[in-house]
Formats: sequence, C-alpha cells, structure tokens
Amino acid sequence: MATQADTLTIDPPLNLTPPDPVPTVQAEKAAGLVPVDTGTRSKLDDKVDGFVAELVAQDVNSPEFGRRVDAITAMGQKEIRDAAGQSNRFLDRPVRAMDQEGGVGKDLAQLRRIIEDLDPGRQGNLTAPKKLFGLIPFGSKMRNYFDQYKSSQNHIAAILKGLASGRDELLMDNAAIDTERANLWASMGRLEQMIHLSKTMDQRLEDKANELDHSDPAKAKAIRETALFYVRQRTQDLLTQMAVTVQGYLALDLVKKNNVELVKGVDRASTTTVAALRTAVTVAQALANQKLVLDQITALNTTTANIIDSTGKLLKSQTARIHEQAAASTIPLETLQRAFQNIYDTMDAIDTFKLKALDSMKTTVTALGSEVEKSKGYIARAEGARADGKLSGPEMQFRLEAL
Amino acid sequence: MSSDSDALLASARATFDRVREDYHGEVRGHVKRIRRRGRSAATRLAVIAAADAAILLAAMVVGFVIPLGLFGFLGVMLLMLAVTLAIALAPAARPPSETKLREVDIRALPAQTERWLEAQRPALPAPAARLVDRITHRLEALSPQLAGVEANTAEAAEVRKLVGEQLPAFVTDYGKVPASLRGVERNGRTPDGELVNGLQLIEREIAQMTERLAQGDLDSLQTRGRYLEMKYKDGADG
Repeated sequence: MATQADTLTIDPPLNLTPPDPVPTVQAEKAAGLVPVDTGTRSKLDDKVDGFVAELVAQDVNSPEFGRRVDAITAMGQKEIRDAAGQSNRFLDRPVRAMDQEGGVGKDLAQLRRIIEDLDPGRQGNLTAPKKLFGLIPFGSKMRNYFDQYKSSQNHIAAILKGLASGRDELLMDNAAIDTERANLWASMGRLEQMIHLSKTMDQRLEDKANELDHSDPAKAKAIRETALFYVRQRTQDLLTQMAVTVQGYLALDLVKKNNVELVKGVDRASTTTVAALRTAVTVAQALANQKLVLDQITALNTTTANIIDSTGKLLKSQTARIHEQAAASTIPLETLQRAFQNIYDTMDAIDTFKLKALDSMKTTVTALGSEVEKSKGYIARAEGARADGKLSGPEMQFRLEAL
Repeated sequence: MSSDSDALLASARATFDRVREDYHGEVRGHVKRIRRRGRSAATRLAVIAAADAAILLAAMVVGFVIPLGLFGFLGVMLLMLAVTLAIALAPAARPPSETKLREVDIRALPAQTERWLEAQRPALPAPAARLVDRITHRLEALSPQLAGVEANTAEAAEVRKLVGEQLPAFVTDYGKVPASLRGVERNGRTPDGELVNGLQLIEREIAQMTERLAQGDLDSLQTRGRYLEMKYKDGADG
C-alpha cells in the first residue's frame, strides 16, 4: 500500500536552489577578468609608445603638449560612458524580478486556491453516505465531490494557460538578459583594453620621467605633475566603472538563474496539476463508477504537452503509471490524496525558493545600487571632461580609444 | 621580405579602396544632384498642369452661368499662358536658411540639412566637398531612423545639436573666412585643414548616431532570436 503510494512520487523531489547573492567587486580586483588577446595588447602598447614619444618631444609649455595632456584626461571617456549607460538598465532587471505580483506569481497563487478547494483531504469523509437532515440517505458525497472538478476545469485550464505564457515571458526575459550580457561583455572588453592602455601609459611615463630626471628635470616634473597625474586618475575611473560593470554582469546572471529555476517550478506545478486531474478521472471511475469528462483539461493536455516539452515527457511516463495504480489500488482516494500532495510539495518548494531568492536579490541590488551611486561621481568627471572639448576636441591621431 | 611586400600590397589595396569609395561617392552625389534637378522639373510640370486645369474648370463653371464670349475665351487663354510662364520661370525653391534649420521638425531635419549642404558644396574645397557627399549619404541613412524618435528625447536633442546647429555653424564659419586666408597656416593649421578635420569628426559622429539609434532594434532582434533558440532548440536537446 505504502509502496504503491510512494511510487507515485518516484520523480525526483523538486529542488530549486536559490542562487547566491553577488559579492561586491573591489575596483582593484576588477581588472583582468576579461582577457585581452596578445595581438591587441601589443597594438595598444605600440599606441602608448608612440604617444609617449610624441609627448616627450614637445616643449612642456607649448599648446601641443597641453593638447596631448587633454587627450589623456579624455582617455576612455567613451568606454566609460557606454558602460555607464548600460549600468542603469541592468539595475532595473533584478528590481523587476523581485516584483512578486503579476506574471507567474499570481497564477500560482490562484492555482493553490483552486487546488485547496478540490483537495479530497478537506472534504471530510467522502465515502460516508450523505444524509438529508443527517437521517435520510440522499445522493452521494463522492459524486458531488467529483462534480466540482467539472465546474472548475475551465478555471484550471485558464490558469495553466496563464502559467504557460508566464513561462514564455520568463524565457523571453532570459533571452533579453543573454543579449544584455553579450553587450556588457563587449563593453567590459573595451574597458579592459583601456585599463591596459592606461596602466602601460603609467609605466612608460614613470620610466620616462625617471630617465629625464638628470637631463631635463623641468620636463620630468611636468610629466609627473600633469600627464602622470591624469593617467592615474583615469585608471581609477576606469577601474571603478569596470567593477560596477562586472558586478552588473554577475547580477544579470543571478536573475537568469532565478528565472531558470522558476521555469522549472512552473513546469512542475503544471505537470503535477494535470497529473492530479487525471488521477481524479480514474478514481472517479473506480469509486463512484462515474465517468468524469474533463474536456478542457484533455484538450489542454495535448497543447501543454506541445508547449512544454519537458512536461509532455513527464506526463507521458506518469499517465500509464497513474492509471495502473489508481485502478488497481485498493485505496484510490489515497492515491488522489498523494497526487494533491505532489502539487502542494511543488508549490511549497517554489515558495521557499522565492523567499530565499528574494534575499539574494535584495542583497545584490543594494550592493549594486550603492556601487552604481559611487561610480556616478567618476562618470560625472568623465562627462565634464567631455563637455569641455566636444567638437574642437582632440584630433584623430591623439584619440586614445579601445580597438 | 614577404612582410614588406605584404605591407606594400595592403597599402595599395587601401589606396585603391579609398579611390573607388571616393569615386563612387562622387558619382552617387552627382547622380543624386541630376535626379533632384529632374524631380524638380517634374514637380514644376505637374503644378503647371494642375493650375491650368483649375483655370479651365473655373471658366467652364462660369461659362454655364454667364456666356463668356470671344473676349472671355481670349482672357482665359491669356491667363493660362501667364500662369504657365510664371510657374516655369519662377526661381528654384531656396534651400533652408541656417536659422530655419534650428527650428525645423526633427524628422525633417536630416533632409533639410542635406539640402542646405548641397547649396554650400560649390563653395568648399575639393576634399571637403567629398566629405560633404559622404555626410549627405549618412544623413540619408539617419532620416528613416528618426521617424520613431520623439522630439523631446535626449537622442533627438543630440541629433538636433549636431545636424541642426554644429554642422551648419561650422560650415558657415568657414565660409566667412576670406578666400585668400583659407590656405594660410595659422597656429600650425590651415582653415582648409581645420574644415576637413571637423567634417571628418562630424561624419564619424553621425555614423555613430545611426549605430546608437539602431541599438534597440539590434538588441530586440538578437533577443528574439535567442528566445526562439531557447524555446525550440535548447528545449528539445535538454
């Protein structure tokens, strides 16, 4: 008996693991996460060498020297601007994912309510004969109970359809996240190039200044105080933006994992519901000799099987088993009860998952939000540098940009 | 050795590409100018036909009520002749002025700037004229993209600033420099060189604007493609 009931739950228990919150990425550790290939590296190095050689060749007080220093202050502004523009969007996504209302959450709540109404465990003793005024035998409790299925099948079908479209929305969300992550990856690649460029520039200028200390101390001083100073400032800006972008990149992954788990939960909730309804059909036949026709659900079965592939597979293997067990079992009601228990287990798993995932998400959003705030100061500086010399800005050959 | 010849070949190819691009650009610009002239002649003919038809129709209506007589007929003929000549010989529509470019609707702005630039083109040195052709080409690509842009968004303001203000102001400033001073070096640069550099920057920036404006559509396309993959391909595998 017990083994029969147990075989129904033979599917592995639904395990939805909430992803861990994204840790704060330190600016110092942000560089080096995205590889820059050696060819690009050497090209950037050549660019720096050419730039430094030209800078050193100029007279310290000439406008040409000033123009090249301007190019340093504008270094990477485009890359920072691009990455910052995206950071506003990636903060938006986890916030929306935390929104419990609407979408799948609403449908799941409705499903739970309707399943609770149909739960055989809440119907009292179904096998006891129904009596009018507690005395006169009148009708059958069992029959009335199964009639409830007929009246609620439309509603259930609608909810299951809602779940299927909610699942599609989650998939679409993940597709959008993939696109955003691809874009972010490209931005991070360019930031990484700029970081490499500015760090190389730092090194070369430092060397040059040391070299000039004896021959031309005035020039060495100018290089240290203007060029090198700005290079270090820019390196810091770039690193800060990189840290925020990396963190956003990871946060998007968190939202994606979250969605994948939710899709699993929705799949399972649909499967278990349909399975319970099928069990009910069989049990009605066995217990009350009642032909329970759930046209809506049967129609949905075929469509669901097509829409949700995994559900379809699961259902196929389950149906045969349910039929066998429910028909052969001496205690069909217990089988039905077990089927309902499956739905509850699934929903509980989803609820616990959501709670934990919400925690992770909140931590991530708070951390990311404060990092984005911090980086805004740097962006403002980059923007300020940009506003200064827009059209009359540095000439092509001085432009320090990623490749 | 081989790297030398490779470099030589590469530079030759680059030169060839540039010359071809310039040639195509020039031909394209030329063809466009001819076509524009043809189009303006066609519209003129259409206007003449419409005006004459209107006069005839009016004469017929009046003729039903009061008989026009021979003098009336002559009067109508003379009127038609006068209108035809007036429209045919009227001076061509003037390109928009610089101040008008600042107020024109954002969707019509690239086309108007294009016309304005066409009018300035003869006064510019050859390299700058080639760049102007390339810019008009870019503006043509930008035009349909602006159809979906709201007038008061940041993108629209950006486009207006560059296409409606900076570009005309820059070219006008150059136009004000006396012809004798345009080739004279000042602070290491000549006004001619300055013009070419600026126009290059503007051309690049307009190209980037097109790219930025297309970003949303590109993303949406990629997202939808990825969704189809996730739903119908990855799902079947897993």
